[in-house]
Amino acid sequence: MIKQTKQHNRIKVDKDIDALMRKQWRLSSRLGILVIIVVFSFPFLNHFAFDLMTTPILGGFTIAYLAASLLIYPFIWTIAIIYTKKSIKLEEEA
Amino acid sequence: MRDQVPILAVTLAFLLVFVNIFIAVYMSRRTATAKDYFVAGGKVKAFPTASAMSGDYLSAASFLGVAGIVFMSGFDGVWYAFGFFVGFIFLLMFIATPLKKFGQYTIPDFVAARFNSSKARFVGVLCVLSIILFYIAPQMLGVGKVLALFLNLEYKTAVISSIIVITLYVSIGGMKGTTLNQVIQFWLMATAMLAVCIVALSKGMTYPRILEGIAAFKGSIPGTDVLFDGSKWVNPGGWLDLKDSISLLFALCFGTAGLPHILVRFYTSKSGSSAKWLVILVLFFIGMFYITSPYVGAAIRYAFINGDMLPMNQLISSLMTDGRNLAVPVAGEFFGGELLLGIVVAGAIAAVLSTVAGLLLTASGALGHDVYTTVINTKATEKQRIRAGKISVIIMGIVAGTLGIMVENMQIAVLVGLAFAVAGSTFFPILFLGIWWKGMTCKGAITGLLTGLISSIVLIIFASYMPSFLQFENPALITIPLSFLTIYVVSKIDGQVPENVNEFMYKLHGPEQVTK
Repeated sequence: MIKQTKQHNRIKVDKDIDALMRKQWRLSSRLGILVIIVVFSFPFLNHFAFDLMTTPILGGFTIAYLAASLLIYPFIWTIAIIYTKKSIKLEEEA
Repeated sequence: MRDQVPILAVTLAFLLVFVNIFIAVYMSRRTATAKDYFVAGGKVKAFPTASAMSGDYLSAASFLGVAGIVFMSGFDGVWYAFGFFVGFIFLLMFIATPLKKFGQYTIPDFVAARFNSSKARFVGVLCVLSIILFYIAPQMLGVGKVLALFLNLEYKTAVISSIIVITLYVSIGGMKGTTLNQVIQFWLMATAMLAVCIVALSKGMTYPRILEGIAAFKGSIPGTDVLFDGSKWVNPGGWLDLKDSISLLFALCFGTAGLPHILVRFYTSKSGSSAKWLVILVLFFIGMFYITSPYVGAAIRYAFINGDMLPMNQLISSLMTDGRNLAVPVAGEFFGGELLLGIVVAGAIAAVLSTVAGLLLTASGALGHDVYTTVINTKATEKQRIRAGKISVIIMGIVAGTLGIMVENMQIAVLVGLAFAVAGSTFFPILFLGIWWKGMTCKGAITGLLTGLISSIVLIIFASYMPSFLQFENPALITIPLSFLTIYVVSKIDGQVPENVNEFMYKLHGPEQVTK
């Protein structure tokens, strides 16, 4: 994303701002892509690995049901805390 | 209609309304400036802001709709809780802090300032109002259904009386009064949902056990002639195929980051870093809620198919006629009698009051601030600006009541999902690219907003006339990428990047309250 702006010849280049944005973008995009991969893999797995995802593992809980109704929550909470701590540190360094 | 009005439910509902109006009147004395009215002075601490934001976010769709859609559709209904929750992480990582650092009153403020354009502001206002109308209709549907069934009111009467109360206390209390009310409303609805869970669990209905019982059931539901296949209910694909599941997730995940009434909350927090911790708190609050509400939907489904409700014909009848919207109050009455029903009805009313209040305030910001103060009367005094906000609340209240009456036979969660599609196709691309891409131009932004708005509304309203590859339960899979693509292509062709883009980006990404 930041690379695209640099290629745009009508935009004034400001090295400080571009560097600042690049650092923040790197953190947000890496964690964001991880979340997107995890979240959007569920419907694909449910479709293409239906038998696996519908295997009961805990009482009536299948892998799909357990992941979508319970496990996603601690995953997102963890990512949110990691992101917040890192981004606050990044801003303090700026 | 019920044989008897549950007195406790009525008492709690009236108590809640009385407290809300009292707070609004009390806080109105502390509202001296337009900043107080629209963003509570911009100095609310993280915990009350997180509670209020959770109250804003957890609408009738979450309180009634999620459990209702899980009751109806099983696993595929769980996607709603999943998507509503996950959306906040994108808000945290890409939008929250820069938006707080920008620090104005409304989202059209951001659009106008980013591109130095009043045209962009106008299109932004149009999008805000469209999203709010899509969002407010199902809230009125929720409160209308609950009050009609449990307080023996006509649906129309329930809708009209509710919107009068909400309009009254929002117009009086502004953001300060509304924030305090939303804190109370959020904790009331969280307590109500948790109470239903605890009582159900105390009766031995553990999550693994009820899912096992439902999966094993195949046949006609006791007391009815309805056939039910539990194995389809617990597994994916019973209602949504792969295409629709992904499209729904797109809408819910990215729509959250485009909801104007949620975004405006960041303006009320104290700083950029407090905005981050605010989202973390919200993620915990709403996460706990979204874990419990699908459980309630599953628990009441289990009780329904197990024949546990056989002596309670009224509850069976409610589930048969409108289980998609009434599963939670039915669960409250079934598991905890009149006491729990009273708490749940109060929780449902709180859910609607808090969200509609937030929506009305955001709409008043769009009309009272973006249209009146910046276009009609640029020299308006503080008093005139506050008065414009109040009048805007009343206008939107009338529109909301009318819409509420029109959507009587629709499903709450589905309607809200569509509002997410419009939000995700308009403000999410604009904010995302506006914050992270210096090359975005005013023409790109306006074209992108209009493309997102028009394509999502067309694909929602005229879905049945579309070719099969364009028919979705929720069109976000098409409309969000289309909006991104339009902004990118038009901006590249246009190339007229605002002169002050570096200064603006420094304001968003640099240290707080320092301008370069």
